[in-house]
Amino acid sequence: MHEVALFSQVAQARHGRLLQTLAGVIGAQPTQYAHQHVLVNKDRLVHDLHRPVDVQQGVSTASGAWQARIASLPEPGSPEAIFSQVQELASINNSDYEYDKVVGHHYIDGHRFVQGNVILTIYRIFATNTPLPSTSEILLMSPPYSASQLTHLDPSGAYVVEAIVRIENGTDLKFADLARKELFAFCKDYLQGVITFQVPDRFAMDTRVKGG
Amino acid sequence: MATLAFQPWPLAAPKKPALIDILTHISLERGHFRDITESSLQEELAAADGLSPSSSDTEDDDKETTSKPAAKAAPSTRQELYAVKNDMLRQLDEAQRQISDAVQFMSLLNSEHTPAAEKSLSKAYMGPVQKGTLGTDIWQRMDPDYVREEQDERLAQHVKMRGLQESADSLLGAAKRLEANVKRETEYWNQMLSISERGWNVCRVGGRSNRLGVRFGFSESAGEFAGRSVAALQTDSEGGISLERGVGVKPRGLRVSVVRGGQVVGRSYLPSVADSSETTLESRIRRARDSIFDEELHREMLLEGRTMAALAVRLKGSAIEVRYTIDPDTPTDRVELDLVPLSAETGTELNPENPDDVLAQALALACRLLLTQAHRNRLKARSATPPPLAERKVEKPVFEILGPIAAFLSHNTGMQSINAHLHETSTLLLRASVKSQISRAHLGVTSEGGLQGIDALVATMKGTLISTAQLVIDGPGEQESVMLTAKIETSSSQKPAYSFTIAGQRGEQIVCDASASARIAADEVVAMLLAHQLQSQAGPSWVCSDEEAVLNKEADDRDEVARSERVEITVAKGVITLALPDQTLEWTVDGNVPEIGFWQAGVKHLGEKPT
Repeated sequence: MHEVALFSQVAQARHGRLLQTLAGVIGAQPTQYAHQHVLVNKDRLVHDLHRPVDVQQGVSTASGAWQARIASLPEPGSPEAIFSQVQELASINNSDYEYDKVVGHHYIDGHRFVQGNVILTIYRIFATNTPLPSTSEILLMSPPYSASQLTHLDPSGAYVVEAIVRIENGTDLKFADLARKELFAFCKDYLQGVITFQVPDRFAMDTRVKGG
Repeated sequence: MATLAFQPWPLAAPKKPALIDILTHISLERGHFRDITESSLQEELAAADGLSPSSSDTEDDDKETTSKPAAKAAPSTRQELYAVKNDMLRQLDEAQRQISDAVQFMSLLNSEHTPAAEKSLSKAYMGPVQKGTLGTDIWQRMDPDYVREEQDERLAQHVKMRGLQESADSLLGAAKRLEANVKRETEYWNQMLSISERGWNVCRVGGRSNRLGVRFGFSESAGEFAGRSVAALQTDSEGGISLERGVGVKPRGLRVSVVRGGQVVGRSYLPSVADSSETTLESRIRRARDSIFDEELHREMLLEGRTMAALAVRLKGSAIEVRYTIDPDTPTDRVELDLVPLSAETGTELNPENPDDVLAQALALACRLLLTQAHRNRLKARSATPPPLAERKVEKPVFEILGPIAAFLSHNTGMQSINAHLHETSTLLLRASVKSQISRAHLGVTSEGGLQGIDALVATMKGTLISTAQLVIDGPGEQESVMLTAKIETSSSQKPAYSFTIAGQRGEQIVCDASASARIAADEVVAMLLAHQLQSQAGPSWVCSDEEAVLNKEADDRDEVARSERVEITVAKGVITLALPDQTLEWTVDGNVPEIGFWQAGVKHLGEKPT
């Protein structure tokens, strides 16, 4: 399937107010969203293995099984939103990924809202301060890290806002259009003044690109 | 000016030099006008002509000269300099104003006679005043007219007083209006607080306006009810708040009636509403909310009822009729759910003694509970991650409210019929000296999956209702007892909706879908159980058939009477029949029974089992 996505950022001081505003506007309470992500290099694509966790000060527990999300590079020619092909697997065999190289390990903690077909996620990224193991086997097997082993990726404590609409078959123009329309109607018109969504520059931090 | 000049006599009258030229000339000669006073001019004249200056002027002169040195002390500090400068400017301003006043006044005065005087009238100053509006009269000096002056004085006083009174009146009027405003605002905000403190959500209505309204609907209502959930609050002149027209005026409520044999025997509770203007704002809002809840409930049940015609749900006008059971046994027993306008006449109180009242009230509560649960489910569905966009027809799910109610009613009837039947059977067996015990079927709240409270109740209601009744028959002597199990299952969602399962000791099961056939099946199973019991008591070579309640004795070679014998036991329609080869014994509940009991008769005929 394909995903149309827009992003934004919210400072920590505004986060509480933002959640309240969105809850009032959407008419529902946010649901907790805390996941552990292990990024694995497989077949020249980055596979994002994630599972829901419950991070505590002492012992953290995993509250679900590992799922996989394989996102291809975003498709070009779409300046207003990020349009990429994504494959999601609801459950994985650990053995498939055991020997693959781990390229990233982080935790995401935030909330999720749903309005119609738009999924709005507001989260912060936590990095681990231990070196990455070479294969994913250890990480897949062991329990999630406790809160003491995690640090903020962004020391200012800002939150990332992500708005996504998913399409079953992205090559079908009718649905791609519908999805874009719905996403823009929600993000650019309805939430105008509350959050300003934008398309982040993918090459901003990439050292291989000139000017990045 | 004592200079002489020889000039030719002017032929024409010399043009008088313009005033401005004369003034310029004078200022060039003598310096600024400031320094020229009458006394200095007189002095000059005197010096030129030898005239003595006038006496009065000298006195002024002296005064001036004495006051002058005092004023001439130069300001020492910068502050004083500025102060003096400001003073000077102020005085200049004042002088200029006075001069312009004088010029305007004189021009106005003269404008009547001399049109040229208009030129010096400045429009800004005297704009609205036309020329010639000021007139002068020359009066001879008159004696002061004291009477006239006094009158004038009094007139002036009157006018002043009237002016003051008018201003006092207008101030009082303003104060009164302010007080009225304050009272109105206090009343308004008191009422507003009274409803918002009770938890009602007060919000802005209409977007741009500053009208307030109260939200009394439910966030998960659908369709027409979603638009009716907010009522604007209108103020009247006293500051009192009322709901906008049409809201809460005609409240309606759901009433459940139990009908037996065409008569209404039980009703659920409905509040009887007094005149709506008497109640407080908060109770009116509450009534509006209850009314909209019941209306939505009724509407959802109507929609659901349309799909449930197979389950004996009929719609009669606005009332939904649910038959007790699908059996044609009791066609007039039903439960009616109707939306009734609340008024003083239609209010009903509950009579806790009447079990039908209790049933009706319980059903009404159950309906409302199921609607709340449906709202919750809708909220959960709305907040769940949506599936990716695809060509999928979205069907609006119909709420499951009437289904569980109808299922419960059927189940209840089924339980009652089975319980009654087992009771009768037990009495009958007692008449035949066979002891038995019953455990009646009842419905409990199952709490599987860790659900508790309301969640467990609702889960039970929506799932399949299962109840089990048992009849335990004691065998003769110390024989073990045998058991008959009757299980009633009713489901609101699956087909078949309704089934009885009768099972005997050996596990054979008979499944029926009507209570009449269930009773017959139960009788058969009781007969079989009795046969089995007898067989265990009977002598050798008596064999009990597995299918029927028949004991056969095979012809035995050793026996003298070489014939097969057959003993049949029947339980039907309130009669136990023991058909022995030589006699038939019958036991009934009401009629005469043989002296001998069932076991004894059987054992006597069949012979004792060798110990």
